Amino acid sequence: MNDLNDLTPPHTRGESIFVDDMPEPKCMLHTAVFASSIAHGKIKSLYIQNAEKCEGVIKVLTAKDIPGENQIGRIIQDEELLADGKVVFIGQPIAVVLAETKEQAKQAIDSIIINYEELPAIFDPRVAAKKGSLIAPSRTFTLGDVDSTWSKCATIIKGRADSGGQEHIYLETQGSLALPGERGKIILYSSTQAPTTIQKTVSKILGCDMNAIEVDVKRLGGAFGGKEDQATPWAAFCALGVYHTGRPVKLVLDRKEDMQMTGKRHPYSTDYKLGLDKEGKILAFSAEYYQNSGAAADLSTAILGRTLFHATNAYYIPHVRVTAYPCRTNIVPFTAFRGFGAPQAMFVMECILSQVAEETGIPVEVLQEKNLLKDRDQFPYGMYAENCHARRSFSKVVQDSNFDELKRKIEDFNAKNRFTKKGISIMPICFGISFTSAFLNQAGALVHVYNDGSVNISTGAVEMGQGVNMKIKTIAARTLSIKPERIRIESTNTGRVINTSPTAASTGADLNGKAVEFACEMILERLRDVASEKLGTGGISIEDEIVFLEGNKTELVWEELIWSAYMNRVNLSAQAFYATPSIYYDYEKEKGKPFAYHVFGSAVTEVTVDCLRGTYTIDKVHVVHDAGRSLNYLIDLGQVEGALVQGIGWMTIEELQYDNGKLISDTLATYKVPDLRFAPKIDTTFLEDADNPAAVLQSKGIGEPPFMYGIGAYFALKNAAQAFRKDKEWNYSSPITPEKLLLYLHDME
Amino acid sequence: MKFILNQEIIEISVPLGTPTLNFLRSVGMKGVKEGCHEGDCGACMVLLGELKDNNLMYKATTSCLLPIGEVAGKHVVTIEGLNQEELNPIQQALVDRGGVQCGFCTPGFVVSLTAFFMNGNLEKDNILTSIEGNVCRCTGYASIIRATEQLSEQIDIVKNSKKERIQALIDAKILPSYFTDIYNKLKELKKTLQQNEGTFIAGGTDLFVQKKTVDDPIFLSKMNLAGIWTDKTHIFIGAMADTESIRSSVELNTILNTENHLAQISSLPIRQKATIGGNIVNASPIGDLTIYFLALDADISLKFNGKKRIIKLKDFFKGYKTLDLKKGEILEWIRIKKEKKLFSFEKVAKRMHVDIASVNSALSLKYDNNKILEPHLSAGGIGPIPMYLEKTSSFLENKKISSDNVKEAAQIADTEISPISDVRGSALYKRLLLRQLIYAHFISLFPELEGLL
Repeated sequence: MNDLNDLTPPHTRGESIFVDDMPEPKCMLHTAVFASSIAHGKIKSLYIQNAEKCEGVIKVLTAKDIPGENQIGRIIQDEELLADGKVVFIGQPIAVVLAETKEQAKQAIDSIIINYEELPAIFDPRVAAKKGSLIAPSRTFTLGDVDSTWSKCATIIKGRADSGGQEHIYLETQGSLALPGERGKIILYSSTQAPTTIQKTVSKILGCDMNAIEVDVKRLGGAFGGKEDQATPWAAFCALGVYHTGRPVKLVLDRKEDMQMTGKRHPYSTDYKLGLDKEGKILAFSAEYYQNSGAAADLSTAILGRTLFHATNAYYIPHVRVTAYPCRTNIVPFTAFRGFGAPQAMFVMECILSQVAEETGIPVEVLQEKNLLKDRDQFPYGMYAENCHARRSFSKVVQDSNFDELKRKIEDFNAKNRFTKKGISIMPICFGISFTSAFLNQAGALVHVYNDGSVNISTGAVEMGQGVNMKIKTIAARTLSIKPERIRIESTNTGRVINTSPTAASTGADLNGKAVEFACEMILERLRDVASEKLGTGGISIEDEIVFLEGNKTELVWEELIWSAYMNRVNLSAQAFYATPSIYYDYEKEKGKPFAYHVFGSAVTEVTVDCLRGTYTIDKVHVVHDAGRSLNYLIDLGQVEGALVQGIGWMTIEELQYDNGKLISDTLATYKVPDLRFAPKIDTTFLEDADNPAAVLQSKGIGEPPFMYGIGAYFALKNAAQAFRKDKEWNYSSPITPEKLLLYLHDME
Repeated sequence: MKFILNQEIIEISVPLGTPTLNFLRSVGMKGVKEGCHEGDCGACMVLLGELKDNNLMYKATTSCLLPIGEVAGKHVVTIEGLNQEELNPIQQALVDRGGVQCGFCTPGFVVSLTAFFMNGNLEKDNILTSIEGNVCRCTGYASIIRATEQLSEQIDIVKNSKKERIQALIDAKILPSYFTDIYNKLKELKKTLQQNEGTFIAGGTDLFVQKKTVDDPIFLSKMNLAGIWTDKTHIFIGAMADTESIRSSVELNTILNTENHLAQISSLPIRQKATIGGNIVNASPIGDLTIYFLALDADISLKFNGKKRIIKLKDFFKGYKTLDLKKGEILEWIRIKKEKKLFSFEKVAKRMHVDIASVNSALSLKYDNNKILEPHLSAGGIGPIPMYLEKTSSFLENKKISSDNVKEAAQIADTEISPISDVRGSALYKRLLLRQLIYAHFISLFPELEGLL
């Protein structure tokens, strides 16, 4: 099979259907959301009567109209669907107008009158921590004995690092369409990564059973974690609208609403301390991470956990104590975003090594290499590194990129140029695959073989551009040994595959693909019996749609075999289930084996800084990535490149700017994501001989890990800037915007 | 009003200020996506074809910023109008090279790349310029760039074809065959009448970001204010000249390097739409073209009912978004002296392409006998209006080129400005940046200063 994603041609024709493209049912209502304009306060009065009288308005929903529980929190129940009595962030939904047209709904918003009593608001996670404003208790991971090790260290450094948030900018904004069914049933089409989350939350809000809510997801126009928990409110508003009016309801946010009202990547502020021996071997590490969690838990506690799991990145450190605080502030609740807390941790570790290099004079790449993980090294959470490719990928990227020569050339170049300076960095990664909440590592698949031989597959995986459907198709085609053209991947539907985990944590293909493999094998086993009856006993196999008996080709082909099975009343449908084996975690001890395996890789980043103007280009990135045995080269390559550029954006130009809790970079004109010119040249190599027995067909999850190569851009820029001046203390704060860089490079007299 | 939508002439009656994007989606053209509704992402890209001097010309344009009234008598092509039975070579290249992930931005990329084939100078233009206004969040662009490389074969085929462009593109399977009829269909269409009351609209690239629809639009595009021409002493630029025409103008490029300078401004689809008149009258303190021409000591002509007055561009701005413009008055043209001067334009934004400047600045001067003559310095983003830096300019008059003089000029400039902290940067940053850009002007004009500043 070639490596094209053959599900993409309709995308190029504009024929693929997203939520907002679905044919609109008759009598459908449109919606507009009225949201808080203050960061924290009591609602003294809310007057919606004028809005209800506006032309075309059918109803204005408020907290009073919620028949069940006014609650959308999943891990921690601390977030109201519609603010009732108090507001805790700007952009928090308070009321929803249902009207005949979108314009009418939007217009009616202006007629809602609200009075607040403003309360003091917190925006800084350190202030929140000091005041005891935490989402949940802090967590601490320990390994060895940090306290008694400091005295053995030749060098000890301390410092602080800050990383900014990040807006997802999935090109398709959040949205949902709800249809009324019979006897209270509601069918929800949603742009969500988590159909079951929506089903469960909506049933709670409406006070009905989960079986009354059907969620269907065809595809997403990008998600990146931003549609895991954050897709829920919009679907819930539509469902609530159907509940009250009996009419179909649609809500699609416009870009500005989406940016103002939905969660983003968590900003972090971290204090750290690290000790090394004379040779540069790291002995001890401690850190306190202050996560800006926003006004409600959302997924913050799970994200906080992943920060701790990745505190030491791809390095082995024998003595570790790291603590993380989920800090409650008055900003839209921060949420999942590709990497899920790990990028924030890895950024801190690289800041530390960069600082150590400055203070000891040992080149940073020497420090990195010296401390890279190898097999049987222990992580702070108790798991041991296995099939570890940290050193392999690091030395390969050094070799492939000609790192040593590049470095020399850059030094020459910098010596000759006053204002133009080049910089370079290496970024190794180690990322654990599995949901860290062990129970989520389960998936179901439903495979139908119709009696003409065509195949229909449903899973819990949501296609959002990452190519999971194509991977599932590949797994099914390989397992059944049939032409992929026979296979159609169905929408993700809570009526067909139940209790789905979100498509997240880079596990979509691992979990759902394995369930598909199992289901296909169940069908195959029945088909072998059918073939045996026809051909006589002996080893039956199917290769390229032809049945083999004892290794000999027979006349029996797929379509005939299926028809025989049907005529013999054999079940041609299979439902299968997969749960990742042997993972466990003890939250009391903070020890266990939370991951099925780890992904490794390294990247070399080259940049150029214009030190007169403070501007820069990210010139080239060499990546050596461990994709196991790739299921689809083109898809995996696209994941590496796309994640890398997103990571670079996070580190450089993507800057969330607030004015007293109000996001002011709330459009694509003011929040800049990488464009074609900003993106670097990328040279990606996949590690060979890196089979992964812990996942389907020896592959590895790929969605998130390459994001963290982007961190290299920050340190390459620092490297270039410090070729211009070194007499000034570097402030470890990302993103390193042209503004921050210029203010480092020059002083205003 | 009537226009051609893909292969059909249609007649509609909707408010003329309705964004074309909204109209297209309402009639089932769902391949046209809404990503931002402000011209920054390109997901809603369409082709707009019209007869110009009897030639059928196409450009890619963001339909969110295109009021439907503007398409009267023209040809609007959506992705649906480009689809043929099989994937066309552009679509195929995107699939072959993995340039498609979630698919939401993809139709916009296909449309923009098609515009390159229809209108681009295939010998000279960079195909990537055609998609600089398209944002993709999934791919990191590498695979899209590889897809454009796969198209080099098609470029050669079209380039070497002896047939006229549209036929060549039909032969190359890039366009469906119905395009052969469009020329005659457009000739048949009669333009609807111009209305007289309402909001004047030039390119609408900012107006439609601020106000998503406009009542009673008056389309200045129908008032014959475009064009660039010269007389003995001046070069004139019609108020409706678009940024791309200015960038590529032969007249301007003989005395200025507009071709390179203005390549930093927005994206091709927006440059082809945004007018100099709109940029000036919009009075944004950060308008790139305004800053550019302020430093060229430009004059503008304001016209009302046959009466005309000519003023200095720098005297046009009275305060934040306040102009010396009387009711009913229209900006007719802008002119600069036809003389060669040393000129430098600098723009720094968070993202170097398709972004609004944090600070921009321009400087023109003559240098004769070791002396600076007729210096004009402008800067944007550092005050409530696009600023002509009067004191700094007069300080520089008759000065020698020296690092001391440049530093002093920058210090004087710092006293003339009043930047505020906002989403484009802190006040401190903007002060520092202007200083650096003044240094940059002088270093690019007098490279010997590089070691001294």
